[in-house]
Amino acid sequence: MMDREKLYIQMSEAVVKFEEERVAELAEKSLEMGLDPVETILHALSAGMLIVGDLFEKKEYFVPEILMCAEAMQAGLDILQARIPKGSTGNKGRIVIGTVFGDVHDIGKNIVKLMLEVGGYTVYDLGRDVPLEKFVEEVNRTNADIVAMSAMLTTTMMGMKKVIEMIRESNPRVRVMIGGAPVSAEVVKRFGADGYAKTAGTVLEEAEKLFKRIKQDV
Amino acid sequence: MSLNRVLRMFKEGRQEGPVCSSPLVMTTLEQMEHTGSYYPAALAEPEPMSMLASAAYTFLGFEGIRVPFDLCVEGEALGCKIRDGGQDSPPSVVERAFGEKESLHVPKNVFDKGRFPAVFKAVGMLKKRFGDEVTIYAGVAGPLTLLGYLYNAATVMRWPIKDPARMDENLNAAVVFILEYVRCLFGAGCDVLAVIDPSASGDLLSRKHFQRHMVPTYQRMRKEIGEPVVLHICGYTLDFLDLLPETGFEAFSFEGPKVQVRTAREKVGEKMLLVGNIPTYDVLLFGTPDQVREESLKALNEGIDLLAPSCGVPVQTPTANLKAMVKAIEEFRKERK
Repeated sequence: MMDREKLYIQMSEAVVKFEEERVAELAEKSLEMGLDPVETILHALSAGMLIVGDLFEKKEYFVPEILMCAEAMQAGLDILQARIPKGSTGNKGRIVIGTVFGDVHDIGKNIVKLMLEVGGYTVYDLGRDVPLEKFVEEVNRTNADIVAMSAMLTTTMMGMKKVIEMIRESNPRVRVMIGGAPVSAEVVKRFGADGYAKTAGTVLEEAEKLFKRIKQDV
Repeated sequence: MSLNRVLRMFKEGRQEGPVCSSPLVMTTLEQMEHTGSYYPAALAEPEPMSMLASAAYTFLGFEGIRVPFDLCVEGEALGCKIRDGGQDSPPSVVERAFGEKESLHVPKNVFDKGRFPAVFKAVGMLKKRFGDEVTIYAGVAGPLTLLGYLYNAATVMRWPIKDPARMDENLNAAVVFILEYVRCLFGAGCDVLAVIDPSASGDLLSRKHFQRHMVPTYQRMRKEIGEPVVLHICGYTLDFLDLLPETGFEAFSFEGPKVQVRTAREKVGEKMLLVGNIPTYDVLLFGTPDQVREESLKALNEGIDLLAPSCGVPVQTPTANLKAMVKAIEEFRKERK
């Protein structure tokens, strides 16, 4: 009989090595063992993706590898999530996410979304090429705490600034984080965003920081 | 007819430079106002397209004119669904043309379709009007970027690991199509081809995959294109800069501050022309003319050959900042004398 810790480690390793079938197999096994799927997501899948994020930062992994890891993780997530009662996850906070209007590059956004989901947040994904006012509408509809936006093109990035202005006007308590290849610390400052994750590897850290600030504000 | 300065650099080497000349898109709202040619008409009709493009030379003073203004022309004609970007942004591909398993199919008489005829006409008009004075660049989507549009980037980016043979097969098919397009562009009168391949960025691909898939792909293009070529890859490209001379292309355009000119020069050697690398947001959009001057002089002192923006500039970029690049090069030349 395998113990819990060992299974978590094997499963996170399988995510890192993008062994999709192995992840699925171990997810099934965790359920047979009676392990809490929420815990398994956190300690095996999320832990694995954090290692992947780290390898990306170190330039050992690139986008092809990350996509394969995300696919492997999704295989595990599908199995585990089916066994979780509604409302028992995603309690850490609500985040609206999307790639701004004119920009259809959503690889990064989708990875960030996955990181946030397994990190315990409820994520409302608006997809790509999202009309700017849609971000505000979705915040109002879901009562979200954070808006996360991404842009890949230098020609579309300005859209994020407009959304930030609209959010400040309508929902001043909401925090905004932005990302995407052309985003720099200077851009974050100029756009007036609250947070910035340079890569998907630091997204969870950044989101926690923002939620701490939201709590302090309250 | 004597060759203009930029063409002499492409044909005879860097000693003729440096110049201020951008193979990347530099259209701004202020240039639209100045020429009376606006998006979206300027994206699809030869007259406004050539008018707006020529502003880089007639209004800003750059030694080069580039058309078209977006990378979707090819994808559109091959079956991608396109969405218009309105007045202040170029169109974008919203739906891929082919399913993952489908092969790249080129429709008959494809170059009579979509915006191709407008692009050829605009190139011809520009050549006729300005060809004796400045270089006419035509921008095309590079093979990996084109595949990203046709099959969806997330699908394509899995191939290097999941199915390397499929990656090569599709890159080959993309090259066959691009070469056909390139022949038409040179036939229409373009001087220098700008191959824009942001998907091959080191932010996305490892050196290993770049070396294995992209270097041979670019070499295949080089073999068939006898005319000057500049390759543009934005983002972080440091990991494979040293491989670029192997492509055989005359020039490489890259992005600052992610890649510094000095480092790029060390890695690619003296033979390749370096193009770039003034940051589009931090300097050109948000900065002052003084900051642009400073960044430009730094790039020139470190050995840039074609002073240009790092990437396509946002349409809100102020004219004064773009003109500051031209002034910087005049200052640099005076000091050198």
